[in-house]
Amino acid sequence: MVLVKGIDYAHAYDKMPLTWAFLRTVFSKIETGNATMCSLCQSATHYFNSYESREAAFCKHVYNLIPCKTEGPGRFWRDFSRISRRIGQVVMGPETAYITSNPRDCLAFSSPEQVLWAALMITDQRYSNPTAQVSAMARLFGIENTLKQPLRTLSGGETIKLALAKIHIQMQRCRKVVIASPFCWLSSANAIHLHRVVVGCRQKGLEVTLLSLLGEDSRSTLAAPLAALIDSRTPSLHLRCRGVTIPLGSAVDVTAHLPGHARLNDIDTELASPCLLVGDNGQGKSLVAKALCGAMPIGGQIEIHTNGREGRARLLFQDVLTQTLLRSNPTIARSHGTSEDSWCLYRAISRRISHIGREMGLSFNGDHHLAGQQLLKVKIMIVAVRLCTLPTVLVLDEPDWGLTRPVAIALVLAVIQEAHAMGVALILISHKPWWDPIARSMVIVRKRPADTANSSNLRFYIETQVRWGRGHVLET
Amino acid sequence: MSWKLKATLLLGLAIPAFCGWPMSCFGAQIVPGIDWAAVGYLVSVHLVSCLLTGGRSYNRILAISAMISLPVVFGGGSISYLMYLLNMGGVSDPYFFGAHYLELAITMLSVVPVALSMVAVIPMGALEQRLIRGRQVVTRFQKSALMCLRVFNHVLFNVIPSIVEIMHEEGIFHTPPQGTSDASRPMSLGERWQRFHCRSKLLLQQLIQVGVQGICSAIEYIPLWSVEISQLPEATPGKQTSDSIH
Repeated sequence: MVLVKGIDYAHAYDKMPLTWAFLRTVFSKIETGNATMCSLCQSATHYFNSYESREAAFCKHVYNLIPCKTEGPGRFWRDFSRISRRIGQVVMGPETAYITSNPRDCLAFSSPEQVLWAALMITDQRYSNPTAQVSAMARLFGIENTLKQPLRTLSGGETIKLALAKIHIQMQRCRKVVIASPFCWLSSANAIHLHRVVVGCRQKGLEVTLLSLLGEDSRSTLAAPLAALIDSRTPSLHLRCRGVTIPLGSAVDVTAHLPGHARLNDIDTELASPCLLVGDNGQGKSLVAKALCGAMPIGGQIEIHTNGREGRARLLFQDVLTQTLLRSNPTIARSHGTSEDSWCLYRAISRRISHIGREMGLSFNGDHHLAGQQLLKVKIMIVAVRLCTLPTVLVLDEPDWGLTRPVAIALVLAVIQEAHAMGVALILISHKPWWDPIARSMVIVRKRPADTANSSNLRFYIETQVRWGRGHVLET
Repeated sequence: MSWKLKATLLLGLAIPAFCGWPMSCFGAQIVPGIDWAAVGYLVSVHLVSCLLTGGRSYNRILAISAMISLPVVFGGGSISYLMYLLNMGGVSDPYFFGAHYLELAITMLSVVPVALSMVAVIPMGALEQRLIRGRQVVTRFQKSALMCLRVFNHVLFNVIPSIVEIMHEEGIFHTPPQGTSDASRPMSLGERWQRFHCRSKLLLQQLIQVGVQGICSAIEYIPLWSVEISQLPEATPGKQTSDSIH
């Protein structure tokens, strides 16, 4: 077993038989536990081959109360009008507990504490000490430090943990639990929380349904032949950050009671593309991405050079549906005034996806593979528009969100190939182990709480650590 | 000073803006469109706003008010003048609509800061929290208030920041001109006009899209939330509405 080039851990452990035996026992127990956990979740999972079909299935569980937002404002408005006419008639009752595909959307209150408190109220149980109950539930799901924070400032991972904690409380009274796409938000370290909810539901004899996209819950890395599709001559990215502070919360707050800011450690490093930005849920990966791409008004200085060229960094948001601003693809293509170039790149990336799809043994046939994959089309167009502006770096924040595993792999590989051909470096943000074999460099992001006595409203530090330099590739 | 007192003072200050009284009693005009009462009201609004919200918040309020009011006033005035020059739409003499836009400027620069000061002073997030914390049942009024505050806070702290992030990332105000031209070559007047026209059209289109997205995102989850909030146990006349928490 070679984990890092040049170090054979199995050989090292052979030198220490007792330690090895102990570690083997521990690992086997963890593996057995993981296998049980996976199989339990899998047995409750329904798989879909597109985001649209999964959303349609989820909507049925919540009495079609969510208007469609993937087909422009006209369809949205028709759906919303139909739903609003039914509001008084729908009596969903507390028997259905659910988590939407973006977990923030199912939380109808402003802070984690309030969400959990409301869940306690809805279950209508007379707790002797509800405050303690809320704290205990927050501790159980690892969100005890964020109880008072506005939902806006929570990361995707913290939000799904909160949503799971809410369901754990509602379980006392509900009859069925429906969760849309939990695997794309939870890192493997936090999968235990989902498992806890599923086990709890099973023990209470509740119907539990997890709606997932094909392969979304896979923990295996990319196969070697696919990883080899990335050219070894990749753009070199020089990243320099000095004194960067990132505001948390609302950018339009007139109250001046800002929820504080985070500070990024100083970076001056050379990275090979594609660079993988990894970290557990809630460690600040997306914040770093937004800071790099100028999506937030940061303090300090960030300089990015790719192959000696200076310029802007561009970002594909995780919540790509919000990023579209309800625009159709032709409108997105015109958004930078370079419509023809955008469509050319769109077609080039689509062709690469078809090609990679065939390499993967998928039945991709010309452009027909895009039929019914509205979200994929949108992602390709957003990427194409950004590549047209010839940025130094293109950051893909959880590019697999809303896509099946094969389609996500084909998209990411195609984008990497196209970007590298244009001399644009790539930064991939993901908590999934899928992308490890294609990464040419890796940056680990960790959150460190700030000293509570500080007066500058500093909430936490984001520390980045470059794990691999250029040319070092993980081997398994 | 407590936020309740501040909110009451601001509500009192907002009365002239809502009903015109007592400004209507002082009709002396400085120039057509601007009277002494309106100027006095404008000054007092900004003075009170600065005192109640503090310097840092007041700076933001002033900036946002100017950003909202000035484009409306100058844009409206320019369009009206253009229509007057082109003899379109039966627009009256600039002497009359000029007074109207002056009045509009004074009104907007008074009303917008009052509204923003209320937003700054009233702790909407804390109020929303307080409506549930420490209770095991809520009244129907509290449910309605909860829903209103939820939508308000969602728009202010979620929808707008998300859209602002997208606008920042897209560099919506730094859109490059269509096509590539030789940067070293000086542009003719026609080319400059063409570029200005393209940019304005694109910017207008993008601002409309931002507006549409803002409205849709604001209302998107109202049905789901209303069902969720309606599930909260409601207080019946004989039932205790709040339980003390220790």
